[in-house]
Amino acid sequence: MRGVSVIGIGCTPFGQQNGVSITDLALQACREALSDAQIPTSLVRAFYLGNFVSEALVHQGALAPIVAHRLGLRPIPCTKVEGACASSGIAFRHGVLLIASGVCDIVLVAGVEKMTSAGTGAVTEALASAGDADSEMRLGLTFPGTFGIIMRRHMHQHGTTREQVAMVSVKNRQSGSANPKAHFQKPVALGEVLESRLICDPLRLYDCTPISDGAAAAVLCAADPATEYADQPIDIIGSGHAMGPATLFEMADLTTFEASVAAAQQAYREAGLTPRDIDVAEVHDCFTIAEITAIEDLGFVEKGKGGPAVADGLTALDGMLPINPSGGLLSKGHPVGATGLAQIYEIVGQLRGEAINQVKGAHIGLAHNLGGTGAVSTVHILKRR
Amino acid sequence: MASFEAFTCDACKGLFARSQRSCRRCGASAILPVNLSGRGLLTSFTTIRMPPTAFQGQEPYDIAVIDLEEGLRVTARLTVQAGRTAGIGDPVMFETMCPYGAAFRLIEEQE
Repeated sequence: MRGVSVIGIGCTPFGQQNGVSITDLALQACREALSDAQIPTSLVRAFYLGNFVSEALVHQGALAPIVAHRLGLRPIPCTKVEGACASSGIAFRHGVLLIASGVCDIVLVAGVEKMTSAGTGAVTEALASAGDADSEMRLGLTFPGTFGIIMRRHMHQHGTTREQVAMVSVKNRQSGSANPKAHFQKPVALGEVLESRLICDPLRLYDCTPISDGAAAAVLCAADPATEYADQPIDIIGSGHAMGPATLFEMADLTTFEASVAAAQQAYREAGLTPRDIDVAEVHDCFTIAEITAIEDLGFVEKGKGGPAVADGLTALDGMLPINPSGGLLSKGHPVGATGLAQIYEIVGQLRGEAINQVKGAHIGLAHNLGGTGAVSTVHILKRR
Repeated sequence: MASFEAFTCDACKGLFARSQRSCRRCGASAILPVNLSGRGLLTSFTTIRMPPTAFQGQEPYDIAVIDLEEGLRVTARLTVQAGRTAGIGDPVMFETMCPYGAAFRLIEEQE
């Protein structure tokens, strides 16, 4: 298998984007990535677009060819990739595989979602379609509800405190306050998180990501010729993609997502690294408790030690392992289909040394994307040359 | 007390909440309905305050993950009587099948 590098990245601001269509959002991120890579569209040999709920929320299907055609790509394979909130992590992975296997040299990958034009009930219902419709979602369970159940169990099983969980929100909102592309650019105090409105007990409003619009994209290139196009290609040295049970009742441990554990093990093995080698990570913090389960599932801390790790500052910007320096989904927003590539956008920026909240000396970065009730996860490890 | 209908594999005796053509554990094809006691313990739960459109008007409602005494884990609606507060580890029993799935309730201390 050939090596694969990122030679261009793009990302729209996340938040409410009135009057901008889903196609326009995707185009904006793709054009920025192509311009960053300084390559003409004629060199792009395939296009993967991650998206989850465009049919339900903006009544737009066939997104990949529509975006590709308006970008001026001719006539190449275009594929929409759907894996709930991991849609664009999977799109990225498919781009990597297509180049690694030698099918083509340059692939454009993107992710997009337009959510704010629909009502909260409709968005909640559309997102709930990532759960198991035959069982749990039929009961009226939602994703905030799913993570409320996981949070209560984590607190019971591991002694994680309510304050430790809330500190994830405080940390990420602080980081996001410097990010001009973030949906929320205002820090929150611990008391505000603890006193915010109950959504799904014990989960409160500031434990949740906002409903956002946004898109992100990356240009991938075979590692050998990458320097012909980019001064500083960032190499993808590990790629993992796995599934797990899609319901709470099928999880052996309500505090562990098997898909994340498996995808991480695959990525670490491919990279020949361990969690200790990672300098910076963007993890899937769709809810505060999700960041705590993620840093445990990725092996950064022992299972059950995620809460103390946050409280002790291990995961802070100036900590031993900065987690979500972009502000994470909690601050940046979570336009579901765009999230995985927005994480890649941040990690590439960190490894180039040009991130807003730059982690000093960041050499190896990790991006972790999760979809559904732990149904699917991707983990990518990237390295500066 | 109402019994809770589940499914068991005649070969490996694995228990499942849903009917299926073959056993997810051993692959055998003899899957039989089985009546369980309906008694279990609360593993975790939440209160849904912002439901999807289809459930609007029912909120707040509780959903729980329950470990039945026979070893089967299920996700179900949970009824908590007025004045009671649910806690992890509390005993529950199956109450009824609703149009949207199984409903359990907290067992009263005198039961």
